[in-house]
Formats: sequence, C-alpha cells, structure tokens
Amino acid sequence: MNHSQRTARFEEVILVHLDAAHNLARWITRDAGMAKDAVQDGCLRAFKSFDRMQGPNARAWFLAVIRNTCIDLLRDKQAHASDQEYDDDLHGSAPMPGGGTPTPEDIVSRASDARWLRGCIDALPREYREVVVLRELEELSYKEISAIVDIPIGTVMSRLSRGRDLLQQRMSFARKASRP
Amino acid sequence: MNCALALRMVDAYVDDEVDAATAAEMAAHIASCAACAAMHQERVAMQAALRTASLREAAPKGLRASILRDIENVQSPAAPPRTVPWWQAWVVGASMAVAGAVGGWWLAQPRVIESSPELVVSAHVASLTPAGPRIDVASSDRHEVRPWFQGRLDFAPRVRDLSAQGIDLLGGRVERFGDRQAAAVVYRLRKHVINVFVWRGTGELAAGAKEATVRGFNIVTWSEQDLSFAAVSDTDNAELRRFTEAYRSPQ
Repeated sequence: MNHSQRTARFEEVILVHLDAAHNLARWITRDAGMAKDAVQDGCLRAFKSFDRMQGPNARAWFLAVIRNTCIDLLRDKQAHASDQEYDDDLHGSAPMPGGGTPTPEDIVSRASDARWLRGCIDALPREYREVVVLRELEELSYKEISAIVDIPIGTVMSRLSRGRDLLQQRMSFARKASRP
Repeated sequence: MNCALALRMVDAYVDDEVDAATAAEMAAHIASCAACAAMHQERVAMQAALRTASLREAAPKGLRASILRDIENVQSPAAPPRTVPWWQAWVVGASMAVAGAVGGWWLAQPRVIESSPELVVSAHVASLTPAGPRIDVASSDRHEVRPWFQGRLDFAPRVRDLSAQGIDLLGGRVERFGDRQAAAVVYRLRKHVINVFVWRGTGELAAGAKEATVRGFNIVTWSEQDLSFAAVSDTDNAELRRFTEAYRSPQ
C-alpha cells in the first residue's frame, strides 16, 4: 500500500471517528488545548501503527490509542492530579448536608443547563469520568469500553455504577449550592 | 431477585447489558419494589439528561487538516512529494474501498450475510462528510422524500416520520450496491446519523432482525417481502434497535 492509499484508508477507517476521539480527549484532559494536542499526537501514533491494528473494532482501537496519548500527555505535564482534586469528603460517599437525592424531575429540569452538567462530570475522578463519557456520550457497549480502558467487563460495570452514584451526589450537591 | 442484587444490576439493566432472563427478573422486581423502582427511575433520568444536553465536544475546525498535514510529514524525506491533493486521494480511496467491498461481496455470493455488513458500513462511511451526511433530497417531510424516489428506483422505500421518538428525518439519496440500486433514507438521532439502506431482493436475509458490529458501527438487517433493509449508525445497539423497531412498526 503506498502512502496515498494508506492515508485514504486511514481517513476511511480511523478519522471517521475523529469527533469521538476529540470528545474523549476533552473529557480526559479537561482542557481544550491539551485535547487538541492529544488528538493530533494520537492520530500520528495511530497512523504509524494502524497496519498492526488488532480486532475488528477500529473505533475502540483508535479510542484506546487516544486515551493512552492523553494519559501520557497528562503525566508529562504533571497535570495528572485526578485523585487529589476530588474531595471525597465534600462530594463523595458522605451524605449530603441536609440529605436527600435529586428526584428524576429535578435532574430532567436541569438537563438544559449543559454548563452545570459539564461541571458535575468534570468533578468526577478520571477513572469514573472516562467510563461515564464513553458510555453516555459515545454510547459504547461495556465490551468496547472494556477494550478501550483495558479493564474487565465486570470492572466497567462497577466503575460505571460508582461513577453514576458520584454524579448523582454531585448533581444534588450542585443543585443545593445554586439555591439562594 | 432481591434488592441487593437489583441495586447491583440496575446499571447493566439500564444499559441493556443483561441477558433476557435477568432483564425479565429485574422488570418484575422493579414492578413490585418502590425503592428499586425509584433508583431505576433516577438512573434512566440521569442517562436521558446526559444524552440530551449536547455535552459531546466535536473536533474543532481545522483539526482534521492539521492531522493530515502531520501524516504527510511521516513520509521518509527521500520520498518524492505527493502531487495528488489529499481530498482527491480520499475520493479515489473511498471509491476503491467501496469497489473492493462490492467486489468482495459478489465473490462471496451466495454467502451474502457475511460480507454485506462490511458493504453497508462502507456505504455509510462514504456518505459521512465533514459538512454532514450526503443527501440528494433534503427534507424532514416524508411526503417530499418518498415521492423523490419515484422514477429513480423500481420500488418505493419506506420513509417514516419518527419525530415523536426524537428521530429527525434528514432526507434521502440513491446508492449503488454493485449492479443494484439502493435507497438510502437518512435520519438523525441526536448527533448520530442513521442510514437505512433499502434494496430489492432478499438474498439470505431473514425477516427477523439480525445485529452486527463492523469497525465500530452497529448494523441491523432484515427483510420484508422482496425488500432488504439495513440500518447502520454509530449509536449504540440498544438505540439502533429502538430506532429499527420504530421504523418497522406500522403507523
């Protein structure tokens, strides 16, 4: 395969998932500039190695490459502080001050407030944030998420459960905080 | 099923990741337990909120071009500069890929089922352009889309208004699958484009829906009378199944 054929094949098989790649990078890095760098670096990596691509699912393979690039980039820039920035006492498993969880109606009524939801997801620790994003925004199956994050399907399930618990608590916390 | 197990399974249940027997047990438990029903409702509401809030961050303008420039530079310095613009290469490459897939499909006759998902995905991918899906008649009105196919095809593809289910009709176009013509009816579910290909002849497709995943795209195929149908999208299996059921159900 010559270079232009290879480029054409790369565009058809891999770059068709560019939006998904950028979305994942944005949510992992939480920074527009770093997300762009990660996608560019990741695409180069993918282009160099896509002859050796394993398995039939090009999207999962590509997203795994992008995810690894993001994590390397975060480590390089020493901005990788997912475990520290999240105060478990404030937003975690401890009951909310005043107690109570949002009702389904509350959640739906806030659905239009994308910025507020964004903040809730950004506050999740990375290992929960990435599975929530892959499941809810990219709508991938547990099997695909398991391949991308490189964890067993059972772990996908438990991380997603825990991530949603945290998100629910965070949403209820943010809702209370925003009240006068 | 007890509450402890139900709480552990509720996410997999919401995500359609449990087997039919477990799903039936969950449904029965939820119907009889108010606490677990409330938990289930919360999860469903949260999923709906996250999916409808437009949180997905598509690639910014220019990123694709930057990537293609980077790739260009991967070539060894000794290699002569390319004279074919990338977009021409893409068009040639895409048509070669389609031609290759079609050729493979014919060679594989009569084992149509094994290779036609690949063909369907190639046609779907080829229709996705940065400006949106390729459409020859753009309209959300099925009374405009359906007549457009008259005179272009020797059959009338089904065009349904699914706006009540949150699915927008974008329009239609005609595709070539080898020597036969196929209608492509184009829908959008949130940000996901869904192509429904319809062509004459059923090959080995059964009336019952069959699901497949190729290169990260989900496909549902089925046949009705003498027509074959294939719905393809990058939305998840459960959503595509819901779409297919809505598209197939009599109105």
